[in-house]
Amino acid sequence: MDMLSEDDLNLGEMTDEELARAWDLWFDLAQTTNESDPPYTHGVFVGAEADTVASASSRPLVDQRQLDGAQYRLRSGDTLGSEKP
Amino acid sequence: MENIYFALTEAFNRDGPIVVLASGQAVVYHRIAMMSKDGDWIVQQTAPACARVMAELAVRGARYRPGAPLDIRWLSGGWSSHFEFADDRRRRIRCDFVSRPPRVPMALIDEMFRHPAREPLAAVDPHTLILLKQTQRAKDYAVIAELARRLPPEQEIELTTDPDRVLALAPEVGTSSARPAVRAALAGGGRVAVVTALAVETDGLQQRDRRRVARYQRAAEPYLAECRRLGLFEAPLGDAHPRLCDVAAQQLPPGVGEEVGDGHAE
Repeated sequence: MDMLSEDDLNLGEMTDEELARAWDLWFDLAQTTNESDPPYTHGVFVGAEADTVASASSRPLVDQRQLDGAQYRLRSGDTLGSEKP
Repeated sequence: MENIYFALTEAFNRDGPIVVLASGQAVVYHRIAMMSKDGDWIVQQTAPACARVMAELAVRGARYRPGAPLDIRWLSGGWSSHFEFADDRRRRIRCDFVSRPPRVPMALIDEMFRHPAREPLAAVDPHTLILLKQTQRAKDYAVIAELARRLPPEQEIELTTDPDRVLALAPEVGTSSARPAVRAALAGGGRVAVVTALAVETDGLQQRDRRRVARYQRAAEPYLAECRRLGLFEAPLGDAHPRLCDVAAQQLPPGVGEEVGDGHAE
């Protein structure tokens, strides 16, 4: 039974450099959902962040030009997988 | 171009092995899935290791996020420390540390630093990663199934969450297993019985993790409230750290107790 997508499973065929490039692009795009990320879910402070003033997260993090030039485009209402495993 | 969390791992370990990349970025490292925006590490439970990590974070302008001080007094009790900074492309970088992660035997952790893996990067192995991923989140169990495929069959059958793998492996390597899903497969209960046993097992793991985190959350409330009142999560790291330690010494119990199966000594 495949529990992950083909996109995930294809990571195994990448070289180190390809993996780094793919992750970098994914990470750039994933910045767009920073404001709506759930409270962090590792460690023992789950949910503790909701009352805290954000620091780096309160600033714009990705230049729109980066997104325009990216391989993948976001449409209004689209979301990226932003949760951490 | 590089994964900044891989680069940070190398930076932390520049003068010797003091951290091991864990959780989401270890999943990326093992090429299981592209799913984590944060970095999680197991840090060696020593004062010099904590100081080395703090120095690397300080030069990057990191701030504490709500969490325990990066100090062995609290790390040794299972607490976690959390940091954040923006990289040179203004991306949000989040760094999380524990020295005593749940469910991982202490001997295994100590061995990581006594005999560090000779890989390009210090990352937890698939077996340890499976233990780390037995959290309260459903999606971690899909990752566990893929990680388990990297293990020898006799280990895979004890940890996989994939019913097809249980059914396939049970006759071959499962005859002495006590795992209910394996016993169900061998008893001829069929696929439904195996799926049911796996679901019950997963729910048990999720509930156990939920109870564990809830104990820490309750114990941390006065400490977090005082840290917020003092603005310590917005202060520069060098200022914040000693003050966090002062507040923690008053308000944060070193440990919160464990239930069987939670901790590090099993």
